[in-house]
Amino acid sequence: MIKSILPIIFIALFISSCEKDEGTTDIYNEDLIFTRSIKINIPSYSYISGKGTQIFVRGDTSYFSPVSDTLSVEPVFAWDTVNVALLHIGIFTEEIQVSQNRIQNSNSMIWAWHSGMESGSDGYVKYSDGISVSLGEYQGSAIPLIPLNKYYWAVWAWNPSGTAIWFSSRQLTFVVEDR
Amino acid sequence: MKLLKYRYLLLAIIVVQNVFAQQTDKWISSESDDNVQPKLVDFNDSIINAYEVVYNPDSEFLLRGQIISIFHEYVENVQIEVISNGNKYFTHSAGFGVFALAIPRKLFEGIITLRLIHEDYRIFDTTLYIRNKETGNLKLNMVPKYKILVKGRVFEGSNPLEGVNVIIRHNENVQELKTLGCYYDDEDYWNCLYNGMFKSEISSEYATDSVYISMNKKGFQSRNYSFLFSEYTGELLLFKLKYADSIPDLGKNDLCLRLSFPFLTKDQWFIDLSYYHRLNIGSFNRLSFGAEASILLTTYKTSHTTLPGLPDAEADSVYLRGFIGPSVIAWITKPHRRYFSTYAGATVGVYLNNPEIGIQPFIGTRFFVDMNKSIGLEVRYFSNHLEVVKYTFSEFGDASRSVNTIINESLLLNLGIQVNF
Repeated sequence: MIKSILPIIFIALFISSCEKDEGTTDIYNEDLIFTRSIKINIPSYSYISGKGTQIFVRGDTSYFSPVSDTLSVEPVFAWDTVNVALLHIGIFTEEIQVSQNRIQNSNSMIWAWHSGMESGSDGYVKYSDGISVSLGEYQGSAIPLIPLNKYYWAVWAWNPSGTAIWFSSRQLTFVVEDR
Repeated sequence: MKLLKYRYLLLAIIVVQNVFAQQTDKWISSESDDNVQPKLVDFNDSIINAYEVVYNPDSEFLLRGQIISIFHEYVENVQIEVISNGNKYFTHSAGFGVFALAIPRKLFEGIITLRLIHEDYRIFDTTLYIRNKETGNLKLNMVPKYKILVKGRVFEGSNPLEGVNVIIRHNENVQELKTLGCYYDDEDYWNCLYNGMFKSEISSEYATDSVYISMNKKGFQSRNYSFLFSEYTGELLLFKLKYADSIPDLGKNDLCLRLSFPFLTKDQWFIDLSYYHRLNIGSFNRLSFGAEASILLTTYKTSHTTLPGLPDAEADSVYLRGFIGPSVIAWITKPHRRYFSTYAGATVGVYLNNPEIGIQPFIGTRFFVDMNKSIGLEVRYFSNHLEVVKYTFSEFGDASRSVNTIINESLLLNLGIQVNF
């Protein structure tokens, strides 16, 4: 009996002698800023700008359009609720570049909102809810965007332990309307 | 001569009938049992006369009669002993309780002693004075003994126990039985209906007689029980045997499977398989050698800051480590003790991934649940190196990882089952 049990024990021991490799997943979404993550949908929506005009945002449908949306200097951002603890949205002055599951051009981020902030909520954030960012560091209250400039924005979220990105949206563009 | 002959016969019949008439009156007055429904049979001369035995009237006289119980039942197969002139003669009662016996005679008159023996009846003794060569028809009543069918079942816990030696003692009668086991019945089914059961029919002349039952089996404490005949109402007696304090035939080998849960520990699971062989050096039998293989699963939590305004997050790292090596056990108490057979030992082995040599000392105790299976409780000390991943949160993507080597020390309480063979 011992002779038949021993090989099973050895096999079990060798199989067991491996550490669990976290963070690998079979998900692949080429359109998303983090390709190995689950998509955060950005629907079409509208909001009333500071000047009292109604601004239409095409959301994900604008991703394949050569023409960018035109938003106000203090835009409003909306997406389908993700219900996670750690969520982040950022506006960049240039196309967001991701490599090895991390944004490489973090210095080009000029505005941010995250789930640790007091105002704003998952799924709907006004520009004034966020803060300005300089060289990748959070600054004070948000500075209005520069008219006629083109910006890039996206939403991403982490797993509960904050070690890996599990959700992200497409990278969308907009142009700030003229004063 | 003929008159003389008939006179003796008449006298003999009168004497015998008087003797038994007195006996019968006495029995009826002293013994009564309302529960027994008598069969309506009675002495019948025509039945007795129909039972013929060849004999020589010139040299033998005929002892003939019928035996009926006081409850008016024919008593067959009664052993009849007759002593005449110092000689013993035997016969048995036949159907309808009739009997006949030709006895050689040297004198025309004399005393014969009659004894009736039947296992279900009281022994009947009487003396006859015979004056002639014929006795006439004897009409004898016998008094039944008390008879009970003792039934019992022996358990170990809630399991019927077969092969238990059961000794039923009543006066000088001793019956030795064994409890039954399962068997294949006539329809080829594995039948356990009578598992652990015994039964025996015993009889007594007096209702105040005691019956003693002793039960014993190797590895169990013996059990005794007694009751009066009059107390037993036919119910199934249930007995439980307790295990003896030591295992009678302890094998030299032990195969153990131990498990540990995150109980009083920091998220560690442990599974262990071990084999030990106990050495017998003279009368010294407290050392076992063997080998052990185990797997230790450790979940290690690290915390790190995340986004400003949010609490720290925790990340789990799971580590599986195999361990194998030779092991030795020293028995602190006698290994064949049923309860709290305590030992201490150590395993020196190799952790299989990221190989390093380690030692796991332990101390434990075991409780036998039957003759060769036991449950063990053990405390084990671990000390090994773990490469713990530390995370640093980034707002721009996955957290960065750094590996720190720490010494993981812990005491694990584990529970095991053990087979001894």
